Amino acid sequence: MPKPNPEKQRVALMPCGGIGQVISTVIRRASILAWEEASDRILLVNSPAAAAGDEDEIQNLHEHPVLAVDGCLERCGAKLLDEIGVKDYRVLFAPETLAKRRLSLSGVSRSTLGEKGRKIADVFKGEIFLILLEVGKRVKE
Amino acid sequence: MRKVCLMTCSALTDVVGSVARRAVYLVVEELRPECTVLGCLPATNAGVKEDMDYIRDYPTIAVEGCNRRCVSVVMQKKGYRPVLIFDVGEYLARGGIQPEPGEIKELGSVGKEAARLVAQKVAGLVDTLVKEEQ
Repeated sequence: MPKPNPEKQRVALMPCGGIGQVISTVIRRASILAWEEASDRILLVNSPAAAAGDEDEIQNLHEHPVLAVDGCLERCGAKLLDEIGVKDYRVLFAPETLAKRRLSLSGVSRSTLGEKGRKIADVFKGEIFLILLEVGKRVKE
Repeated sequence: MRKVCLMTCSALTDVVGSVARRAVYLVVEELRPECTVLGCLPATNAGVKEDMDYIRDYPTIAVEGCNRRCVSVVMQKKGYRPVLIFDVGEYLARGGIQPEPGEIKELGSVGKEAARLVAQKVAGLVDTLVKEEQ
């Protein structure tokens, strides 16, 4: 039986690359934190570069299970994955998490986050890890 | 007064993306709030109306992080071109400014100073475009 290739079992994490809303800064921080803690399980994908046709980013999205984190109703991450023909993806929709966890971003600055924003980013990091566990189980199966 | 659209690199794994983001926030929120709008690159790619209106109606400065030129490429996909390109990576390299890679998620003093310098340069470009429009 061939050994599983750990490289192929990594999940491509593609956070919202937006800039106008606070949530994109929160998601960005959460994703970098998750990647720093588990770079053996996570590949970080730059959505703007993928949108611009970067071959390496697009290849990663096709070769690994993908978790997109969308920040708002525009769902740019999911739309991009559809555009480039990625079939195997999950979406963490941030507004749902905010509602489910009763979190408010009021008073949080999109440029610096501050303590409140950093705490919310930690919550999102936890949500990312929960989904990674599910995706990891599925990959092993 | 007509406005100028700023659209920036948002690279995740390169500290230049963090510097670029902070720099455009400084321009839009503090240095030139009256004459700038912030265009969102992924939203532009997704065809979101507000962002498409920005690049159609206003001259756009592409604040690029590296020679991949993601902002310019996405704008071209949509049938538009930036009127100016500011390359943050090149500017920092020329000035010998090197934020630490560890500053990606939160800029330290070097990264913040780099962002301030970039913001001042970009604000100067905004002024030039606004004058040309008058």
